[in-house]
Amino acid sequence: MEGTLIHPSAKIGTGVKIGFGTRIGASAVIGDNCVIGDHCTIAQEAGGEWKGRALNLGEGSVIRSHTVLYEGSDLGADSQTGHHVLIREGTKCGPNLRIGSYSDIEGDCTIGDCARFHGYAHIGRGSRLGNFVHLYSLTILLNDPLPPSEAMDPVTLEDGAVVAVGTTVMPGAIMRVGSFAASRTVVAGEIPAGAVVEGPQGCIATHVTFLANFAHGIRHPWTRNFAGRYPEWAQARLKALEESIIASRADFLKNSRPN
Amino acid sequence: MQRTDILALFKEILSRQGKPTDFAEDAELTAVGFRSLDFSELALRVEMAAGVTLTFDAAPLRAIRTVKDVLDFLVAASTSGQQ
Repeated sequence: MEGTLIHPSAKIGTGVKIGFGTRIGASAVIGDNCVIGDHCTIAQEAGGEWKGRALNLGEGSVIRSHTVLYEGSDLGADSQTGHHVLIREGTKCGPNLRIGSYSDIEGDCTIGDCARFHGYAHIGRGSRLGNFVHLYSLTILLNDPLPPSEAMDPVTLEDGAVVAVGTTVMPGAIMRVGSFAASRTVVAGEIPAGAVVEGPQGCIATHVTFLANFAHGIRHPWTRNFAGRYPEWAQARLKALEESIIASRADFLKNSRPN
Repeated sequence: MQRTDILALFKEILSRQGKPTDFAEDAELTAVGFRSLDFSELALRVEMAAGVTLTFDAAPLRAIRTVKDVLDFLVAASTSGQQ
């Protein structure tokens, strides 16, 4: 704990390691066996309704250097951040979250279990993300329908949605269960369950069950190829998600047409 | 579904992206600019046109390299698919 600044009111579990130059605020509640890197700020003071509310960091979490976590947020057990991650106040995250370096979550967000965000993802204030959501690098989730304004029209990404690299999700967009936004897409409106949306016009191209990679012989839903990267307790839910995505194919074929 | 019909859909998808469609069937997919995303759209269109559920196995997928491979694969899949 050398070189750290820990507020006497902070609650710190057993086996916690804290790096050099890290500051732990009064509202911090840190679970057992967490590892916090150098130069982090845990329970940064927030304003408004979140002032003085606890920052709960679940047990076994790993917070890498230069990360800033505001008070009034919850990170579930076994969460991990990369370096230079920012999580603003009022954000509620389920367990087993992974956030890549330089990503930011702008507060008042709800994020389900086992979410995966690669580096440089921007998650606008108020975003609602389900379980097993994937955001790749340089994805942007917007919330202001007419900037600059105080209007809030946050996005919703349901369970298993995938947003590929460089994609922008416009204010108010809804990506239904298992839908997939290809790289450099602009997503707007409602994307049906299991649909693949692509391009700057956000066209519905196909259903994820048709997505395949020839060289590797793999295909969607991604749970077929990637479930092994999740904890044992999540496996049954991943299987249920996979079945739900496959089942959405029939509705897609009936109601949606590629455009 | 007929091979010629699938080839027409193949070319339509490329044409919409402004890509040339005067290729030989032995052309590599990378050379004609046919992406995996395009394959998924083509497969969807074949399924809708053929009225069957296509089933994909990993091994034949891995063998796909050329336009001909895609056509062979989808002809077979649309013939053996479930009604």
